[in-house]
Amino acid sequence: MDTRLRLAIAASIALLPTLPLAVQLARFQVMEHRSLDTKASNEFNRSLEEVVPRADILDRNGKILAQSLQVWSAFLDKNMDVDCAVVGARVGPILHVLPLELSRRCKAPGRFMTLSKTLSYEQSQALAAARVEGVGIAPSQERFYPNGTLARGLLGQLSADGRGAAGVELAFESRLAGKPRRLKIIRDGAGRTIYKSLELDSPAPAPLKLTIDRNIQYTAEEALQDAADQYKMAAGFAVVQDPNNGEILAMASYPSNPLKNPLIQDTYEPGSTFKMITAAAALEEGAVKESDTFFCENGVYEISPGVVIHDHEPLGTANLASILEHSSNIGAAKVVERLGALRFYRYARAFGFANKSGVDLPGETAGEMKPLSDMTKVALATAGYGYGIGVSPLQMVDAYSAIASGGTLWEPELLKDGRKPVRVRRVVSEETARTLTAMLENVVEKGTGVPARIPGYRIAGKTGTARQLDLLTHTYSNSRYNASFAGFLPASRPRWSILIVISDPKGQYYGAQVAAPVFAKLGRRLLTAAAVLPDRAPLPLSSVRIGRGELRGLASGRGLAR
Amino acid sequence: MAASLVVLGLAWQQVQATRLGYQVEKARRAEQLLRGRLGALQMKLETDLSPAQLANQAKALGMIQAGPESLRVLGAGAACAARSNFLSRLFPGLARVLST
Repeated sequence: MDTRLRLAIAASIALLPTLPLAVQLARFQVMEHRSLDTKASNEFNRSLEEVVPRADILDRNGKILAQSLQVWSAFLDKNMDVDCAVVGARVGPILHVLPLELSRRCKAPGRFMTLSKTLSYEQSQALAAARVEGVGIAPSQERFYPNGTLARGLLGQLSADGRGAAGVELAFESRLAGKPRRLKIIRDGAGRTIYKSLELDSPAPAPLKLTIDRNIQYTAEEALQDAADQYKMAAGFAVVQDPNNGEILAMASYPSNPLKNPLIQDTYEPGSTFKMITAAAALEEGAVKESDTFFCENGVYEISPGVVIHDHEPLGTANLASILEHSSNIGAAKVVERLGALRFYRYARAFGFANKSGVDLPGETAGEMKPLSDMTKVALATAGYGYGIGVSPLQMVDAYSAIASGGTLWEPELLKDGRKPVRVRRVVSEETARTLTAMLENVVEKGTGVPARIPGYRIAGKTGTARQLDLLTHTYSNSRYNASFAGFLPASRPRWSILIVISDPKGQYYGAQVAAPVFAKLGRRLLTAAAVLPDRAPLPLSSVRIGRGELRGLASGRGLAR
Repeated sequence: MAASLVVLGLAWQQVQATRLGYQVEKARRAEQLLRGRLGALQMKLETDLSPAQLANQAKALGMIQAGPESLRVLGAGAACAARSNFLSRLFPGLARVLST
């Protein structure tokens, strides 16, 4: 036989067993390639979803108020080859847990066990290096508020699943929440991850910048805390607003509660601070001129059979400026009577009361005011000096800002994102605003607001002291009051409107005794921090007269503001 | 020969892709850890510089709050000197810069 032929036959016989292999190879690689590829892909390919961290919340100067950070949590998967004794011995010291305790927990029923929800960087590194069977480290996010309880009533908080539950966190959830990012990965036989590609990329959400000034917020909260220490009050509120554009610079409440913001969600009866609105309406409508006088009945006025209005100090004949200076309820009742229910109601609404302000926060109250049809003579009279109406602290400070800005009501603004300030309406003319400012300055200079004075600066404001309504008996309490002071400074070119409300102070309870000094303290800090120069030459000491009435009033609290 | 080279090339590519996949994932994890570390340090810095912390430290150092009566107006003297300078008379813009 030919040699070549013999070699060919031998080779064929030798290669014959590989024929079925080749056929199978062709079958797998060519004919069933697609289905097998899909099966393998389903087996090994995974989609890993990561959530981009939640956006930061910043103050107007870029200081961080809230930030989400990547943290790591450790868990134990008991389906792996887990030795509880080893877990306790090697993981316990890293997590600062007793090894015996950890071993005991490891033996409890259930597949997964959380070892720690927040690992530090060092702990996560140590745990990864320990390579304990069954122990895994998973990334998660945690929200941090580096300023502690500062502005927490405004910022709110997150729910357990990381979504906004209250405050700014809730109101701006869609802007703050990070979107998911999806990666394609493969897991190898040992469970390790092999990166394949980025399926869906999501950019980090831009930080949310508020109009709040962190330093002013702290100053306001500190002032409230000092008042709480001194007067053992049940609650307190402080709002600072820029009257020129409506920006809210501080929103402080005591006690602080991240789930509730009483400055927009709660109402209170404002008392005499509301006399400013009555006076503004009367002046603007021409119902009352500066020179008009009213007889204030020497402190006792029976407005209707059985219904008597009292003043805290007897006053005879007084003009509008004097009515505000001495905070005469009788005077205010007569002014509002001349103004009339319809015009009073219209101006109260124009100043923003009984309306939501439109601030970007959840749960805002519109406040309470009797409908026009229920405005009896008595109801109108009492409303004129701030009883029988419910206002939110934000509404009150916004109304004073309207006067400070020359008669324009601005929408309260919380976001500093380049938006133009929203001018709601002109409430009073510039001339009326100027006249009223002078009257409010007079209140601080000579009237019930003297404790709000800051030497060298022109301050405009009004005190308020209102009995609290007992919700059980539906009568006004004789022992619980809201003491308040609303004003703006410097009066020559206002930069800040401030409202202070002290609820149920113990001991002293007049607005002049309790709230006005808090206003002055806050005002001083603002003026110093902003280096605002005095807008009035300081009075020489000899020209400061303290009348006997004022001294008596300071001692007993009776001569001062209601 | 050419076919086997192609097959070898493809196999090498696959191995490289897998190796790079391991490296990328390792780098990603490291980046996450470092980002977390950076964030934690930044948070500590923010906390230490928070108004409450600074106020406490100021109190501990015996500092007191200044009032508006502590404000002083500076710069009037420098402005006068600038204005009297020959060059500043010649170049008013320079005078404005000198006076600020």
